[in-house]
Amino acid sequence: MKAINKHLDHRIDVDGGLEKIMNLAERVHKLEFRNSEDNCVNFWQQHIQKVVIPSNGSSEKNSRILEKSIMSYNGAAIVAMKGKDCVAIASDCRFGIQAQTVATNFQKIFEMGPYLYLGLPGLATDVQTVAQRLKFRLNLYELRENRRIKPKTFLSMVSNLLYERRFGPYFVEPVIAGIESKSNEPFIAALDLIGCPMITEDFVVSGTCTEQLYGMCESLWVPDLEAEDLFQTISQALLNAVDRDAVSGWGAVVYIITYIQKFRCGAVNTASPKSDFTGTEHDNAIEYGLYE
Amino acid sequence: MSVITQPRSSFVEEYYAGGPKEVSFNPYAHNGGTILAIAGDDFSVIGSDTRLSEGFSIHSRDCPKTYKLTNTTVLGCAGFHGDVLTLTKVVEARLKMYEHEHNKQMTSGAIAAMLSTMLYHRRFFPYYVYNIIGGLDEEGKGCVYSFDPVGSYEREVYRAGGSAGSILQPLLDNQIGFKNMQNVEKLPLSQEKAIKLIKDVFISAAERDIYTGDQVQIQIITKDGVRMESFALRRD
Amino acid sequence: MFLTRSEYDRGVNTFSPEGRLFQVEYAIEAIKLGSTAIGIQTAEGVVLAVEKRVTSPLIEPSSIEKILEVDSHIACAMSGLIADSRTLIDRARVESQNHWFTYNEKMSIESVTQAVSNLALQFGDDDAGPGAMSRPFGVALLFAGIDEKGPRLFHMDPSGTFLQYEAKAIGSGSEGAQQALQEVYHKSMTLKEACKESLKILKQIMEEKLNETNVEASETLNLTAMATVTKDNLFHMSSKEEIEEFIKDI
Repeated sequence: MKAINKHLDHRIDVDGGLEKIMNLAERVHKLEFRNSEDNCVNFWQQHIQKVVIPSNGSSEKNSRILEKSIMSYNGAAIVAMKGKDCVAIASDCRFGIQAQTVATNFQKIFEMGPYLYLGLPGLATDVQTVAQRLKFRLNLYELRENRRIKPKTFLSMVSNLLYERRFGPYFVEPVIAGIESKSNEPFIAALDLIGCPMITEDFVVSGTCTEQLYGMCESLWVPDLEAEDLFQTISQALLNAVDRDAVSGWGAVVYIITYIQKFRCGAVNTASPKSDFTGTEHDNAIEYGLYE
Repeated sequence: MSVITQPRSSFVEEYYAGGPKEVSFNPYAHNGGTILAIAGDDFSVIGSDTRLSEGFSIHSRDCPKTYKLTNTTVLGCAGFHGDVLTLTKVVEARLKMYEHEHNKQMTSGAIAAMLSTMLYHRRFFPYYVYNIIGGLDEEGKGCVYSFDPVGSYEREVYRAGGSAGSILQPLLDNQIGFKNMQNVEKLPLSQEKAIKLIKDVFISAAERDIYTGDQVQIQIITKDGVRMESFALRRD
Repeated sequence: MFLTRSEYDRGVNTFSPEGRLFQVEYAIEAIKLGSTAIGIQTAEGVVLAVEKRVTSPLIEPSSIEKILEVDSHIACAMSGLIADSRTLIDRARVESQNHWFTYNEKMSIESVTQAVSNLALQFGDDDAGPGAMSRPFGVALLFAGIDEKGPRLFHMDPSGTFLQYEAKAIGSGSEGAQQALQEVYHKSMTLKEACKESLKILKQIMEEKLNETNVEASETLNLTAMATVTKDNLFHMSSKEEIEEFIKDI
């Protein structure tokens, strides 16, 4: 991989092709809790919340703590990245109730069209509700307009849906990744839980380990990554970030969305034959299960 | 540190004269700062940024958070600066007392154990300080000890702490611990690569953490003593 | 000095006009009434050997303990008022454990001796810490152990003075024993040699006195205790069989 850090000429040592990360399948499955770093961070955060935030009336203080805990009740990590003529979106697979892991195959990324994917970290019930309500609205839109939605328009749709619940929000902070079909322009964006949109030119992160994800992305990402390198970059970013978060992890899913079809064939052929990895082909994207 | 005066009712505070007021005192502040230490075969490096801030304001752009304790031990402290000042002073005093009592310098391991007990003795009114020790052990090998504010500690190969600790840590896992990598040669870490990596991750941290910036100061501990290097970070 | 009593005999913290503290000097004299204890330092380790003074055949010799473990790497032999030593040994053990607790390393022999001598010197203090007494301790101690500087042997007397020795004898037979030690000691001595020599010297001393008590000469074996501290085995109290092995060769 030729990803060169944007700040210095320090090279990130991930050489070789896709096989390596695909072989990770077995390893990721065996993730374990390693140390107390997360506890330390939580200890800090709890203390800040309880002590440093001035409380003008206890209800506000409680609601802040509550919101935080609702957002991290089930745990999730989602990241999207731009590359050269491609975008990637990745999520972890865990569904838990606080510290208890309930499922390790939870869907957090939803296909909203051949070139459009939506990642929803947050409260699991809201994740599914928002995904379904958006699909509902999207279907209506596409029937009415008789054309595919543009990623940017979809962003407005998500924003609009969330802002309708301004004072009783869905506890999700969505991530959108797609390719605008006319111009072939990659597009990524993220929103907060009440629908404030943010479009970026590099990467967006969301979920319970955003700090870790930012650290990884900020160091690994460089502009104009080819699809294969983008896959390496986003996979390393996500896997290493969730390893330092107690409530996310347990496998990951990566989607590489390319408008140009040739990559898709190449990638599937490179898929390691010896692992049980299966890259599921979508219309224009490949889903890589970094798990099982 | 701050004193918050709180009126009985938040709506009439301006006009409510002479009524009882609840005054709460917060003994802690968060002054930010990030520390990072990496142990190599025969060296260790420990770096910190030099920004001292509180809330949205910057108190100082030139306040390193590493403290040279002995020729083979450097301590990094981040958290509440008031506690940092006191803690480092007490540690230095204890170091001198030990030297007089036992006619020798404290080893990194002994300092780490002592710091742990010092922190635990304040279990119910802790020093709000995240500590990381970088140094050489008795065999001359690089060592890193990391602590939580109440004295839990562990010897490790690398550790980031302070306000951007969680931003830096996963990248160290990846680059030094070779986590999530396969078929890579696990070469021993060279001094040059360690320093490069520190610069790299601090630049990343300064991008996303408002409490990290201005400058990074790196202390390189080898058998020849402690060498210092520093370089600039963004100042906004 | 013992012939005439003077008013300076009483206070433990009053110097005589000649600049002496009689009570301390008397305490040092008390050691000369105690049983003999010998310590030898070699490159391999340190050995301590003591005589068990049995004044009646009805005494159970194994109940006499004059060599004690202070820590896994430190042994202590004593002579004088054995009861007094309990407080000192307790202090040594607590200090050693405290050091390990705080610094996660073994306390040096010198530091342990220093800590105990601090207590020994606190006699007569009105506001002394726990463990201090109104009079000097009537016991001398030999601290033997291994630390980062290697095998070490320290002697501490009731005045709190402590010195490092290569070989040292204390107690009633100390004069003769020290003389004998000076003759046999050499720097390249092995631990085995040291064990043998210390037992030999003890045996000589004990036999001189055996006539005074009604104890059989063959009993010397039961009336000796020996301990070694080495890098590999740390504190090790020699068994009856091990001592017998050495005595056979004498």
